[in-house]
Amino acid sequence: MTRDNARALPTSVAHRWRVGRMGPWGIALLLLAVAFLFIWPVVMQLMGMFRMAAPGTEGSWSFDAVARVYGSLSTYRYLWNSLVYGLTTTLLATAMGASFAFLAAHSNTWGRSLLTPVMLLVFAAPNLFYAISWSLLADPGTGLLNVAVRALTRPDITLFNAYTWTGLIVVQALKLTGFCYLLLLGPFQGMNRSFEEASLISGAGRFTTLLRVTIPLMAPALFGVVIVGIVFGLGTFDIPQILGALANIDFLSTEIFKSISFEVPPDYARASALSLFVMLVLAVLLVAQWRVLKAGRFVTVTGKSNRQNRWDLGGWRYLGTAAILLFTLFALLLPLVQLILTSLQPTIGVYKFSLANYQAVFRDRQTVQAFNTTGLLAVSAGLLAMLLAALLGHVGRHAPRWIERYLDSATLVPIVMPGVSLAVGLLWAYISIPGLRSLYGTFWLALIGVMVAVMPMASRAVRGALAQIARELEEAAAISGASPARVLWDIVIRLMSRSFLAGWLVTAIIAAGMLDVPIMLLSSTRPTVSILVYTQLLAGAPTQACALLVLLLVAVMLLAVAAAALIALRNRLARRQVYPTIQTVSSGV
Amino acid sequence: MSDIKVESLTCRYGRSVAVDNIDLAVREGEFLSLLGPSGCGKTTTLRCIAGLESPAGGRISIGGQLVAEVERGFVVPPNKRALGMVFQSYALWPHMSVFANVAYPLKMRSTPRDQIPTKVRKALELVGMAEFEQRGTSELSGGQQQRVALARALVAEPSVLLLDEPLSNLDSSLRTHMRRELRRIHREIRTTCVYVTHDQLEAATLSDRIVVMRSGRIQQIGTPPEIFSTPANQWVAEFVGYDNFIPATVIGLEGNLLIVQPRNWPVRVAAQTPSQCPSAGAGVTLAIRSSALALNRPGSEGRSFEARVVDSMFVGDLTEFVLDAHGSRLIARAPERAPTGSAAGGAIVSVHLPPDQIVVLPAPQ
Repeated sequence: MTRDNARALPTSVAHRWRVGRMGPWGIALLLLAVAFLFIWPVVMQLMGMFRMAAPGTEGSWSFDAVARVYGSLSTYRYLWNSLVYGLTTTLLATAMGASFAFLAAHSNTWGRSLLTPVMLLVFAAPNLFYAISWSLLADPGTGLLNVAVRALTRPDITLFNAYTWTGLIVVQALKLTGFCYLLLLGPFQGMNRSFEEASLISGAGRFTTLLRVTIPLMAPALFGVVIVGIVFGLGTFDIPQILGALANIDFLSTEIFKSISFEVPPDYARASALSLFVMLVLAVLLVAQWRVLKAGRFVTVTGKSNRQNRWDLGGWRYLGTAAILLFTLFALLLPLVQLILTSLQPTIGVYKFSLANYQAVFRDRQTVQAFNTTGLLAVSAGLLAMLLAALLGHVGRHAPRWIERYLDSATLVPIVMPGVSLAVGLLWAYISIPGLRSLYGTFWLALIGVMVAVMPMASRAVRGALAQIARELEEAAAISGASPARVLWDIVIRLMSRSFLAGWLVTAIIAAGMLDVPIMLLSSTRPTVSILVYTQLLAGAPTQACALLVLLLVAVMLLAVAAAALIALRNRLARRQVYPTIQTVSSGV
Repeated sequence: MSDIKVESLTCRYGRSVAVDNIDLAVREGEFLSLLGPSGCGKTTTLRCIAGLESPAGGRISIGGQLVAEVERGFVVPPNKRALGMVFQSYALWPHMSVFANVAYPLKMRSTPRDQIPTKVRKALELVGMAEFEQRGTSELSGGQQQRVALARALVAEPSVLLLDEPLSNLDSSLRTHMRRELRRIHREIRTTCVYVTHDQLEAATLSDRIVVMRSGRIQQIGTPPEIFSTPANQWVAEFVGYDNFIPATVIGLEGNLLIVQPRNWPVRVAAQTPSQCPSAGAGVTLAIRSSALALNRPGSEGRSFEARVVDSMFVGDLTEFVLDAHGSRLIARAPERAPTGSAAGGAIVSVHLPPDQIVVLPAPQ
């Protein structure tokens, strides 16, 4: 292993040989396109603060909106709410995610193999699903949980209430746990066991070892997850919008949405000013994370971990199993049961079941159109994002360092933009350019928006996969006479096809459940399913909204099954002799 | 008392048997190496002694105290065995300084707080790292990390020190240096050491005794000279560097030398008599190091035989000759420069073979 690294070093550092060379004009065009897609919206967003009129119209410049927003006390209340929300949900979710990752990777707890599938489902399920199902489950009047508790104890008791701070935080934390778990599982599995063994040999017990070695070693990974979690918590829209509205709690993200969708005329300057707030906070957090990671000492966490001895937790094992089952119940089964139940009821709380809601949904012409729109939007936005990420990753790998760094950081910019501010930025950016103004309110602007929004995820997926491909494999193709484009297509895309398909699937699933970006960029005559669910909910037809959401989940599941089949087919088609060779070569890097 | 006794130890990973019913006794103060290729069970044996692996059968006692007896379900956890161990990857905790790493075993064994700095300094001085106390572990080179790992293993004055291929991640010149250091340190502290390695040179220079292992079983136990000059079987001989093996038949004794006839050879050769003398007519294998074969001109006196040079290769400081001796292919390494006319391909040379360089092994089954 070490020897291989030593041999790989000179080729990658000293001699950046360029396969993906596009010529100076090609590179310049690519850099411009990336700037336009990812950076221009941010710039326009900032300028929008000082504009008195809607995007694309004549208007004067002024500090009015800035003074209004930053001078208002309520702005700081929203900020405080958002921070508290982001922080508490993240700490809760990280604690749960880390515990479950520990159980899955290092313990002999029964049921640990259940964890990853459950967490994947929790991660893939739309925020909208959690918002709606928990608003029904923990409704103070008719919620299933309260009904159950009343049946067991006294009829006047209300134990669960989704429309409170606690309710909001718990629901968001449940959803976020899936994400935190998936981020932490790798570091937990990859940790060199001899760090722990050295501590045991030194005379420390298991618990002391966990406290003094395992957790400190995981600290950078945990810190990274906390930062990303807070970033998500600050920008998240669906759960605050649906549960928060009834709890009377306002957040920055919901206020941005309100200033554009509920104000007449839309207050774009206010939305921009509020967005800047979120972006500043997020930028500070990300810089902090970068500094901490850069400060070093944390790099040597991984190592060879071929020994699979797990900790025997003894009696604690049963507690672990109980926690796994409880989490599955609360994060997956109960919400799902509630959603399906409600979708079959004529009104909430009436326990008569029929397919009437589904019939009504199907009678509505908009439904089929919404499914078409969602499918097209999700699948093509995911594909575009993955293709662009692959192209940028490939070019970046063979270009001078500064270009690689620029491409990498530009595609990460959307992380600091909550969906709602991203949408505002895109509106400003595209309407400001005469030829592109006609995109306003069309499917195409929404497509670009969703693509930009899922880009950070796509580029992470691609980067990991690219790092697995030994440079020699590309160089050998180029020496054999392949053009840069052919190297990308014949070698790079083929070798990372599994990660590519997986990344496409994940981005498509995220895009299918996305509410914030489409709701602000699509015209109301052509909604996605998520938008339709939300409008049905607002229109006082929650049972129909549930039926629609069930159908959306079924559709997403079908998509996932189709993708899994595709990946399986691809594996079968890949010749058996060839594939293992590729794997050994790439794993040596 | 810090001897180790391993009795009928067996360890399995799933269905594969990593250690197969071995018995082993390490004497007090001894430096014992477990030598063998990867997958021979040497690391697993060490980890069983450390308590990091749960054996499937057998008993282990350290310093007269039972630490594991599988049949009774009795196991002392690793943190209660009072051992020191150096890991292959060093396993220095990256979130702690050098000082904190070395102080950790002392803290865990509740050493009085005021004694910790002195003990840590003493351990760091022993490995020559005293001035690096406040450094982070990632700022150290491989050799320095190695020293700190050793200091951490030694600081609590364990009765037994376990070393799991500690030098395998170092480059060759550093490895030689650290080998000398390890030898010096062991001479100084006289702790019982169990050392795992796949490098015969390391085992030879460091150990009082070597245990050669293969596929979970012990092939031979002996001092380094014993292992290297009288390997127990062909496998051990090959592993410690013998590269010529000739099947032969025993003729009889001549004084204290054993006379054997290599198969298809018209001449007989004299060899060292092994401790268990085979009877006349028995089939044996002769093992000879390529460096033991000296090339002479034809007609030179002494115990020699004729061979034809098939090929010769210049390998830096030596020349390697491929010889055909009466149908047996032999390799000889001689300190001669580029082959002269007399030793070029096709030439007939006389090969000198001293009897004490021929090891008689039982014929392979």
